[in-house]
Amino acid sequence: MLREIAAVVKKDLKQAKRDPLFVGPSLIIPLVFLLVTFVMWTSVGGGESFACGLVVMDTSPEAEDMANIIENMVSTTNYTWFSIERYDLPTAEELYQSSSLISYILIPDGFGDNITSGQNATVVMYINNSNDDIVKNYVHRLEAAVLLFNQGAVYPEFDQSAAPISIEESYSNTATPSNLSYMAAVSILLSFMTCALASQAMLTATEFETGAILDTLSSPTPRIALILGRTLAAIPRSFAASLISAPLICFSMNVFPTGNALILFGILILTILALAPIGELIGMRIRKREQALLAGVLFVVIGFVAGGGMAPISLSPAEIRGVVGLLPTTHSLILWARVFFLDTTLGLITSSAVLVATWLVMSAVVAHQMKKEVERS
Amino acid sequence: MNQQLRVIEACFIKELRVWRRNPRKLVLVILLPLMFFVAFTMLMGGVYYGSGVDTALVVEEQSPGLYTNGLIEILGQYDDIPPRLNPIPMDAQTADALFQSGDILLVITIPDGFENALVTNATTSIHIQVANIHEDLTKNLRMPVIRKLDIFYQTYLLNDSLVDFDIETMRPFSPPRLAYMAWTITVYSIVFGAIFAAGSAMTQEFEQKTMDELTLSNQPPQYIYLGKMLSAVVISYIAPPLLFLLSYLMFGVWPSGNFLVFLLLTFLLALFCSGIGIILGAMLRNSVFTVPIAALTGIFYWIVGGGIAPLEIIGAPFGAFNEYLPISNVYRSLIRMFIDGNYEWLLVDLGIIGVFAVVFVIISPAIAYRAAQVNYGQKLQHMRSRRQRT
Repeated sequence: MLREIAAVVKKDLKQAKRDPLFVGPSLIIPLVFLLVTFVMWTSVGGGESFACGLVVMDTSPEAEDMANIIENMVSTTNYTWFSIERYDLPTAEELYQSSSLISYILIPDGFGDNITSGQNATVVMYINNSNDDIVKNYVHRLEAAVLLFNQGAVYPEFDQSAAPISIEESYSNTATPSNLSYMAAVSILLSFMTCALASQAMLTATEFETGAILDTLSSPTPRIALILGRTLAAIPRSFAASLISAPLICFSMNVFPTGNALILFGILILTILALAPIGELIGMRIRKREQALLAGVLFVVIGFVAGGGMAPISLSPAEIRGVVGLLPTTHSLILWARVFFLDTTLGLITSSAVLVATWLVMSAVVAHQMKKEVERS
Repeated sequence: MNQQLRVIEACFIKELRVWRRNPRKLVLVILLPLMFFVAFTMLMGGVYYGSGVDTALVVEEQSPGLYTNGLIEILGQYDDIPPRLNPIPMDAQTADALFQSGDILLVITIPDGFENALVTNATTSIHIQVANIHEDLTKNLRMPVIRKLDIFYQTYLLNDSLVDFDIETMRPFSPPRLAYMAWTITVYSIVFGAIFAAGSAMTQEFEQKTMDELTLSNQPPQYIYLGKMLSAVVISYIAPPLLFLLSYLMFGVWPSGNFLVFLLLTFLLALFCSGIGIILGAMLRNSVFTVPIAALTGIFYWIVGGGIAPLEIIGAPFGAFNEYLPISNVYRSLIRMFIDGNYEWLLVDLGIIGVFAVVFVIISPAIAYRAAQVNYGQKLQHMRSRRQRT
C-alpha cells in the first residue's frame, strides 16, 4: 500500500513538473488581492486617519485644550483618529457644502465661558452622512475626544489619572497588526490554498481530458491509496508555489510571522489535506482543464473573502459565522491569522478538528465518485 | 434597411439567442456580482447586525450600587451606532481563559472599590482586554467601550462632564452602507457583464471553430463585432435590477437620482467595456480566461472608484489620474447621484465616458478583427519551443 501511495505521489509530481501552469494562479491571485486591498486600505480610509475640519470660534484656554485634544489624540493601538485641518467658519462651511470636506467640528464662541460658569459646553460636528458607516466612525472619534476632555486628559500628556473613571487597556498581541499586515499574512495562505485546490482541480481535469484517469482508476491500486497519494502530492506542489509567493510577500510588505513556525507548518498541512480532495472533486465533476481551474479559483477566492481574508469575521453575527464556518477556508484563515501574529497554542483545536473532518469527509466523497466513475466506464 | 445595419441586427439577435441557449454562462453574469455582494455584506455587515459583540463582563465590585449598576446597564443598552456590545457576565478566570483562546475578543472588568471611589469622589478605572488581531477590528472593539463610558459620564457624572456634543448631519437620512455597496455593485456588474459577455461572444467562435466562417461570410467583420458588442451591452443589464431589488428588500431604501441618468451613464460604460471585451476575447481565444480578467478589472475599479465608501466625499481626492479613466468617472457621477441626487460632475463625466465609448465603438471591431488573425498562444508556444531548441 505504501509503495502504491509513493508511486501515485511520484506520478502526480511528475505530471505537475511537466505542466507548471499550476503555479500561475497561486502567484497572480494573492498579488492582485494584495494590490486591491492596498488601494482599498490606503484610499478608503479603513483604520487610517479620518479627514476632518476644525473651526475654533472661542479663544479661551478651554477651547484651545479641546482643539488640542481633537488635533493630537492618537490611538494607543494605531493611527485611527482624525487627520485635522483648521479652517475659519466660512471656508469650512463652503468646503463642506461643496462636499470637499466630509465633516468639520465647531468649537463655538462662549465655549470656555460656559465651562468656567459650570454650564455645559457643546461641541458641534457637521457631517456629510453619505452612509451610516461614515457617521459611525466620525461620531466615535468625537466621543473619544469629549471623553478625554471630561476626564481632564488634555494634550500633551493625556493623563487620565485624575479622572473619576479612567480606562486601563491591555492587549492580546504586543503590537496591533495593521490592516495591510493582516492582508499580507493571509495572502500567503491564499497563495497556498489556491495551489492546493485549484492545481488539484486542474490536474484531475487534465487527466480526464487525456483519458489517463481511466487507466489509473481501473488499475488494481486501492482507491484509498489513490486518494492519499494524490492528496500527499499536493503538499510539495503547494510548498513549491509558496516558495516564490511567501518570500515575495513577506519582504515586499515587511511582514514576518511571529508565531511558532512548526505550528504554522502544521496549519498549512491541514489546509492542504482539507482542500486537495475538494479540488479533486471539482476536477472530477467539471472534467475540462480550464473550467476546472476557473471553478477552483472561484471557490478559493469566495471562501477567502467570506471567511475573513480581508478582515477577521469575529464581529459578524453568530449565524453568519456559522454559515461561513462550513467552509474549510474559513478555519484555515482563523488558524493562520491567529498563529501568524501570536506565539500561542491556545484556541486551535476546533478549527483543526474541522479541517481534519473536512479531509476525511471529502476523501470519502471522492472515493465514492471514483467508484461511480469506474462503474460508468 | 441598410445592409450594414442588417448585419449588426442579425449578429445581435444571434448572440442573444446563443445566450438564451446557454443558461450556465448567463447564470455566471448574475451570480458573480451577487456572490460578490453577499461576500462583502458578510465581511462588512458584521458590525451592523446581530445581537452585538460578545463581551465578557467581569464585575469584581463586591457591593454594587447606583454607579456600578448604572454602568452595567449602559453597557448592555441598545445602541444606535454600531458596533453594539453584548455583555455576558462571567468570573475573571473564565473570561481570561476565553480571551486567551480567542473565543472572546473583549473583556471589561469593573474592579472592586469602583462604587466607593465614585461615591467618595475619588478616582477609579475600568480595565479592558482587547484582542488586537487586526487594526480595524481593534478600533471596532475599543470604540464602543469609549462610547459607553462617555454616555456614563453624561448620565451619572454630571459635575465632571462639562462638555457634550451635537451632530448635525447634511441630510435627514444616512443610507445604510451595505445598501450603498449594493448600488455601486450594480456598476461593477455592468463592467463585468459587458467585458465577459463581449469576450465570450468572441471566444465561442474560436472554441466552436466558426471564426473562419465568419471571416469568409462576405459580411464586414466590423459590423459583426459591433453586433456582438451590442448584445454584450444588453446582457450586462441583467444583474443590476436584481441587485437594486435585493438591496431594497434587505435595507428598505432605493438610491436617489434619475433613472435615465443611470441608464445613459451605464450604457456608455457598457459600450466601452464591451469594446474592451471583444479585443480581449480575440486575443485570448478562451472564455475561461476572460472571466477572471473581467472580474478582477471590475473589482479593481469598484474599489478605487469608491464602491466601498464614497472616496471623494470622505476626503480622498479625485486625482488627475482618475480624471481620465472613464470607469472612475462613471462611478463618481453615479455615487453622487445615488447619495443625494447631485449632478455637479455629470456633464464632465458624461463627456469623458462618451468620448471613450464612441472611440471604442469605432476602434474595437477593427482591433478585434486584426487580433483575431493572430494566434498569440501559438506564437508563444513557437517562441518557447525555439528557445528550448537553442
